[in-house]
Amino acid sequence: MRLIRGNAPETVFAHRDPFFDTAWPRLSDWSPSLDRLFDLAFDDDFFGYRGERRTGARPATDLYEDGENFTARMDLPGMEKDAITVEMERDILTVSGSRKGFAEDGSEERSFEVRRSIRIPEAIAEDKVKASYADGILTVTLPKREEARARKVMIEEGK
Amino acid sequence: MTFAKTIVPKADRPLARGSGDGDAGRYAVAPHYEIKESDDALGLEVFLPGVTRDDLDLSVEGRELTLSARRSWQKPEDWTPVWTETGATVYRLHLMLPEGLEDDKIHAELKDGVLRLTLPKGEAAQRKKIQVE
Repeated sequence: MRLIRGNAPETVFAHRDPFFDTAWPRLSDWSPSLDRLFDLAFDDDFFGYRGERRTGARPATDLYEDGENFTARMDLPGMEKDAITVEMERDILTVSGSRKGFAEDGSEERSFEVRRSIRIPEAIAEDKVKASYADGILTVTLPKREEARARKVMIEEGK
Repeated sequence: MTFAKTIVPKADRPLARGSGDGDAGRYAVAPHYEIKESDDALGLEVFLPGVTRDDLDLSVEGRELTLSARRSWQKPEDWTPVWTETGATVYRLHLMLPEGLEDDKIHAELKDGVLRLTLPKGEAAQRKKIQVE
């Protein structure tokens, strides 16, 4: 697994991923039943989206937050650890990787590429980012920057 | 048509709820799977991210393969979800296998969230080279 950290120039790669755009509804805002309804209405490969998500071309991702860290968990079944790259550039976490799979008719082997970028809502200490892989799930721990943490405790009760 | 194509997914009701204690209120989804065929066996790969061996139930009865699995990972108490896409924590898959497999020789292995099944073909189903005289 490769961890790349750095400060890229302010480029916009938001367009690569619809979930990037904050105008796009956050999945947590969708009720599960609504999500299931979408499953039914737009069956697997109707827009290619579901199918993509299932085969992992745009792997499903959860993001959690606690006092010190953000933690991203991404479904990446069947990957070699060495085939996964984790990049943190500015506020954007990008995970890419590839795995071997079969072609549609099961006859030949081909390689599937996976790529996902997500925006992390707060400043991250890039040099302390850690990643681990188990049971087909990649866990990326993104420690918040000291100043981001400090800023939160600045407000005190007035006398 | 290849032999592999004769594997038929048996539709679970898509909105079927998980059964059993831990699964109450969770929706089961069919996991993504891929099939590969060689001369003497079928290979089935089922994608089950987050599933460990203890979370997996697999059985073959007659020609019917049944798989159910769950993701048992729970987030720590003090973690707040910022967003969640992996809502489904219960997987269920039903497949009708073609005839002519040796189901007592099925081999299964779970690694990195992928279940790999090898289903050896019986004599009758194997591809045979025919000597031309």
